[in-house]
Amino acid sequence: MAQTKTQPDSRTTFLDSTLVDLINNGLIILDDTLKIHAYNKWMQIQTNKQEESVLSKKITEIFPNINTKVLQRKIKTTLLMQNATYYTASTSGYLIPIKINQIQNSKFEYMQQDVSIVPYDVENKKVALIITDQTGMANTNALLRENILKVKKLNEALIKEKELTQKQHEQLIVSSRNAAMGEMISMIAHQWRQPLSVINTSIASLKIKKELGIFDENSTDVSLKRIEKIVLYLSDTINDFRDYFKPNKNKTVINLAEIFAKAFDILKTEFESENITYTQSIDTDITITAYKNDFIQVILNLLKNSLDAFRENDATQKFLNVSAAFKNEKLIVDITDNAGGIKEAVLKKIFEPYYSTKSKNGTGLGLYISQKIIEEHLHGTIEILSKDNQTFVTISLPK
Amino acid sequence: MYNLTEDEKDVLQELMNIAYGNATAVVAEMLDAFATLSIPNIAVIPVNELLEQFKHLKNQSYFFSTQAFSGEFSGESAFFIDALSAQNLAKHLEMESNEDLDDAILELTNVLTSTLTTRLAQEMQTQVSFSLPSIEQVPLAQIADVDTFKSYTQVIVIDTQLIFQDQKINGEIFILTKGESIQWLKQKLNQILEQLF
Repeated sequence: MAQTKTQPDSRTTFLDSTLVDLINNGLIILDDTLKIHAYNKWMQIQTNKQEESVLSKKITEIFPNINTKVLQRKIKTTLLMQNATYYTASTSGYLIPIKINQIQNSKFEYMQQDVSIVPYDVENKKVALIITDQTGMANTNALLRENILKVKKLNEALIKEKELTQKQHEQLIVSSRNAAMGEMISMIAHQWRQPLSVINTSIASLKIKKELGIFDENSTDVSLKRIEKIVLYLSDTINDFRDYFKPNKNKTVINLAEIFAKAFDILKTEFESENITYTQSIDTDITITAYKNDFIQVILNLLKNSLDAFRENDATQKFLNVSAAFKNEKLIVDITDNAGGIKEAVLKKIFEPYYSTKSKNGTGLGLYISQKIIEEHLHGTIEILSKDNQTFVTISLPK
Repeated sequence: MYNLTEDEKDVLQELMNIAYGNATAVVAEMLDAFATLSIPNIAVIPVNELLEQFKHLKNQSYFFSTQAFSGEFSGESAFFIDALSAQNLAKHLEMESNEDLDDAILELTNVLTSTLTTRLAQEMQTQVSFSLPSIEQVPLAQIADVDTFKSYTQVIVIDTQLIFQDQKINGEIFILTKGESIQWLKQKLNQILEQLF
């Protein structure tokens, strides 16, 4: 409030001493030489000093650590402006050193104070220092600052942890793919054995015919065409293999029926040797947008798991059915086999990393990575259920 | 939106000039040095326009102190000083610690804003009461997050420059107000205008 120029003769004339002693604030009247002219009850109790012992003394005699220069500047400014100046607890801590022994405000040894220096008697250059205890507030603020710092640190740790997990996750995808590559090389070797043997036989047959002198152009053409066809097939296999391990940078539109057929082609020989009937009922116009090779990795993993399960559990009329249809704005892909099903206890842990029930070559990463790819790259879900020796894998993808 | 007319702006500029004379004298006394305050350049703009202007500032760190005032004319006055100017002020006052520097900036804020606002209020025949000032150091990127700016619609921007001997201390004073106070201010300015003609 802008001050009116009231000029009291003395404290007794103008101050209602009872009221001044009742207020829950400290009140000191000082002049510009820092001499004390009044010292209320609150101050007396808090500082354990009687008014008589401080009156007419300089405040710096009573509290030698007060910054005289700053206090004098503030008093001068107050009188000049005829407006209040301040010390704030948040910036200056305290003006009058008052020791506190409180457990609840244990952050501070001294009472934290807001001090308003208001013009009291401008003509006689007197100001009133009104002191408010702000220790509780300052303590809460200090606790808040500490907690903010803690939350900040925890947040930083969390970000680091997340980055680390992301890196580990990427490494897992790489190692899982490497493991898959190893398996596939052995499958390709297996697949190549038969066509290579056909090439070998054809060449041997041509050689014999040449030696026996029964080499005719027609049969040579037939043999060469057969060899050419097989070489083309071998070349396609190796191209598919190479494509699969090429990292994908962009999502592409994938034809679902084609991608399942392609994945199955890689495992076809293995399925045939185990007498497994593979059926696929997917509309040829269903497409999804995804990282192609990640998605192939998921399909191959699921088909391979099924194959491994058939190898460990003999079944009659072995089958693996794949179907896909839109349901409630979602594309639902079902993969079902009768390879013996999965025990309840295993189902619970099936998507955990490094969890494998395979007797050999199981990295325990296949389904973990598949789930990550479905959830993180495709924003879908994957669920595995088991009933009556059958396993039901359901992949749900947003349309 | 409560825009001021050209006439209203002229009157406000006049009142500010008077109030500024007072502030200059007090600042010079307080800092015990020959100080001049450049003639203020006044603009009344929406707060979001002010925030746009901040984007052109080059320094990265600012001290931002505020002091609320209440009464018929109420709002918050703010003082905005860049880190370099604050250092110059500290040097001038022979400050030793950061707390002392904060205290000096608060004092300067208090002197500038309360002298200005009180005088302005006096000229408009009203009284204002002040709360304790507070200070924070704000990186420029976070200036729009300062709560003060979120709470007000219009701002009276008073561009000023404090010059001490050979040290330059640049600062900007803002008086932030809300609808009702601006309406009250317009009424008062118009009353003064009527008295003039």
